[in-house]
Amino acid sequence: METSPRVPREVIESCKAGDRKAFETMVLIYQKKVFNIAYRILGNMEEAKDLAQEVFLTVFESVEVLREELKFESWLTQITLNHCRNRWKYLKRRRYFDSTSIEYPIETEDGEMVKFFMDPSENPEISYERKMVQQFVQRGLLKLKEDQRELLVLRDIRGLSYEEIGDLFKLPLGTIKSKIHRARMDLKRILERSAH
Amino acid sequence: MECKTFRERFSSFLEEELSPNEEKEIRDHLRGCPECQNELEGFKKTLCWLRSMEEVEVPEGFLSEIYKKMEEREKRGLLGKKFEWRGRSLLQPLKIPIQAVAMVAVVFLVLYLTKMVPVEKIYQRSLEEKATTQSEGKSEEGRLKEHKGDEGKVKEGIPESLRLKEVQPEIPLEDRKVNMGEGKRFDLKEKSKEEVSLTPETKIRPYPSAKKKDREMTDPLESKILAKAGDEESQTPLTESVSKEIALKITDRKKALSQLNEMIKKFGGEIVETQKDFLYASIPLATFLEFEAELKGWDSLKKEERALLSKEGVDQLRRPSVLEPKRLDEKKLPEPILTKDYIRIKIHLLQE
Repeated sequence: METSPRVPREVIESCKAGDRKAFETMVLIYQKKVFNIAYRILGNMEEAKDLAQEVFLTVFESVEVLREELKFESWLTQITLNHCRNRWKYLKRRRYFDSTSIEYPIETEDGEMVKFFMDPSENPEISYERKMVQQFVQRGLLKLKEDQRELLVLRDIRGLSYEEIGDLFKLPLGTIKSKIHRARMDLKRILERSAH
Repeated sequence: MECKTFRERFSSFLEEELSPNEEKEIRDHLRGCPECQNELEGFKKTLCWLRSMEEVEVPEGFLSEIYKKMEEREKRGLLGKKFEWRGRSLLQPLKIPIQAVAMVAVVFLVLYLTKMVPVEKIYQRSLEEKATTQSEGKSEEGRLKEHKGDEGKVKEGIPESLRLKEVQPEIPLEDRKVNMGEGKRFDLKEKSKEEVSLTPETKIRPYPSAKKKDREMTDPLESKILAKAGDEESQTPLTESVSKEIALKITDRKKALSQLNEMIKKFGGEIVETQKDFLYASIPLATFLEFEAELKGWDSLKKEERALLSKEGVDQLRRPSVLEPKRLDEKKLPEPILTKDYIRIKIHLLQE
């Protein structure tokens, strides 16, 4: 699992001053993280892209209120989660997930399918199987409760610590661990039910 | 311990967060519970699949689309912040000093420009004043003309009528002929000056020797003439060159001067200089007798005196010593001139 490099403090300060170059640097460093969080929570590439862009627009407008540059990444994740929650509610009301799923990936403007990571040296059957498994799991995540999905995405997919997640959710460490275990158990049950 | 309790510890067990004793208890339970073993296997697979979820690549044009959305928001007025030049962040601490310097520079520029205008105006005004004074000087004199002598000098302030004219070569007295106006000619003989009384009381006194006289500036024109006529401390050469002196009783000086001026002009002459009680004029020789006669007409004039004037008065006109021109001053003014047709007279104004 890849982790995004931390952005230098000077870049954050320049972003506050409205420096365009600094903003671009910040986007390039965190775009993958924000996008993937959005994608795993929403389950749709296009929605995830729009949401991630909105997240960075919000960051651009709100970065001045950030007092501690060291907590920028946590602050960015919080914004991402907030956007995802709002977007999920919006899409759920429109029953967006009834017809759209990861089973039918959205094509890009170039007509290319979104490419998953595939090891060229790997057996194509294995690569296909892996792809299918990831879609299978993603589908299972979408069937979880929203907060459970968030916890699993942050903990098991993005690799955040229990403490970081506790800060984001404003919950004690024990509660966070218990919630995450419960989410894992429920996902197992969903996946077993889907496999049969 | 029930299976449920052990299954709730699967996450901690797999993430190795349990103590050694707790792990031993779970291992011992799993050895004796196949269902928990299946649950644990399933849980491990799910957790493995979650953690194997790969990162998805960000679609192309992600950043450019962000800028587009920014522009759209800015157009709609939804964007409360704008990008600034990169250099501004570096110059941020200098923002206020730079603005202050710019304001000071603007103020100096305004002051400089405003100062330039009055200077130019003043310069123009001075030029205009010079031009007007020159023109006024000419107009005041009425007839100021440039007179270029041998040295090419230009006289200012002295009317042409008062300036001496070029001296013709002197003709011996004996050969001089004078036209007396009526076609008569007289042979001039050298005669000494005689006083000619225009009135019974008046007498023509001999021309006084050079004396320093105080001039009263009563008439502006007169004062200008006097001021520019030459050195005040010495007699003007004009006075020395007078060939005829006439005493005239007057009551009103100004009126008398005006009348004399008109009379002199009438007879073709001109006033050369006017002093306090004296008036110097140049009268054409041809009309002098008539002029004198008319002058005498102001007062009663004896016939014999008139006859004397007509006969001898003219003789005096040709005396070279009297008529010898002299310079007005040392500044190379043109020499007093007396042509063979003009006579210089001095009229003594006697205030009654």
